Amino acid sequence: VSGISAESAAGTDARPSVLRFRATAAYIASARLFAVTLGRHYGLTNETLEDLRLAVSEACTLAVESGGGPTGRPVELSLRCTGEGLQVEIQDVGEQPSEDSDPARQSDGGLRQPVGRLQLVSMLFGDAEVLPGEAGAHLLRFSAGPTSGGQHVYARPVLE
Amino acid sequence: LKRRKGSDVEFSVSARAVGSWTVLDVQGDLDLHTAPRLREELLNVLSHSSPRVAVNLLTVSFMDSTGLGVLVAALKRAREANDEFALVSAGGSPGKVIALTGLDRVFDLYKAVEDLPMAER
Repeated sequence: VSGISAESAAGTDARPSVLRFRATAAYIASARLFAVTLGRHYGLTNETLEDLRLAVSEACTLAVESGGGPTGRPVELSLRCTGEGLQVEIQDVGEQPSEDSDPARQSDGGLRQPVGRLQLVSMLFGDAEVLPGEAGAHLLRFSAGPTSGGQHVYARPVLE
Repeated sequence: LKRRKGSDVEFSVSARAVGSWTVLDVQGDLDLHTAPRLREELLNVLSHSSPRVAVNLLTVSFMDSTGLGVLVAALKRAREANDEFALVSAGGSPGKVIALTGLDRVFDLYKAVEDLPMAER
């Protein structure tokens, strides 16, 4: 299929399984399915799988909105079993806006969403962080699994 | 009806009248790809059809903050017009993102379409 490709390393835990897709909204559902299928393979609980599905959707939405970053490369979703959990990486999620200018939070002024996409991922997986990726890209990384900090202990936002 | 899981369902939005309410039944995954279709339908009914609009999320298999943003924008528009806007069957995936963001304290939530108040405000 043009626009999307996958390399699965399930069963050979040292290598990541990688999904690459053109920065197009239609592929975000495929990314969710890819992540949840691998998460299930590695034994994540149903609750963590639901969190993973939401976090991957938010992260891939960021990546699609950034249009593949400065190089216009495909979005890359990488999942690797570390023994302590599932390490998830998505790039290029783009340069992250400040909380006040995050377009995900805008809704015509006044009433608006109290939480941006990146903040939502951090609420789901407490170790989420944006790191420098390849060629100026921005890599979002978090861990899903029994030992990752923060998941299932949701901090409720302050409503505006 | 049971909430569907997974993304094997084609996305659709359909409107129906239930008493004084216009109910939008949404089916499938609600994300960056599909949210514009719900936005368009909401704008249509909020602009022309009804001062009482409810979005039925029972058969929404997945919703992220993009879908939530469409609902927040619709709520704001309804409030500005002094119209009523409600969500129905916001459990499962939609319920999770609504609760995580604290918006369960902002939306009018009903368990079922039958629970929508029929008396005019």
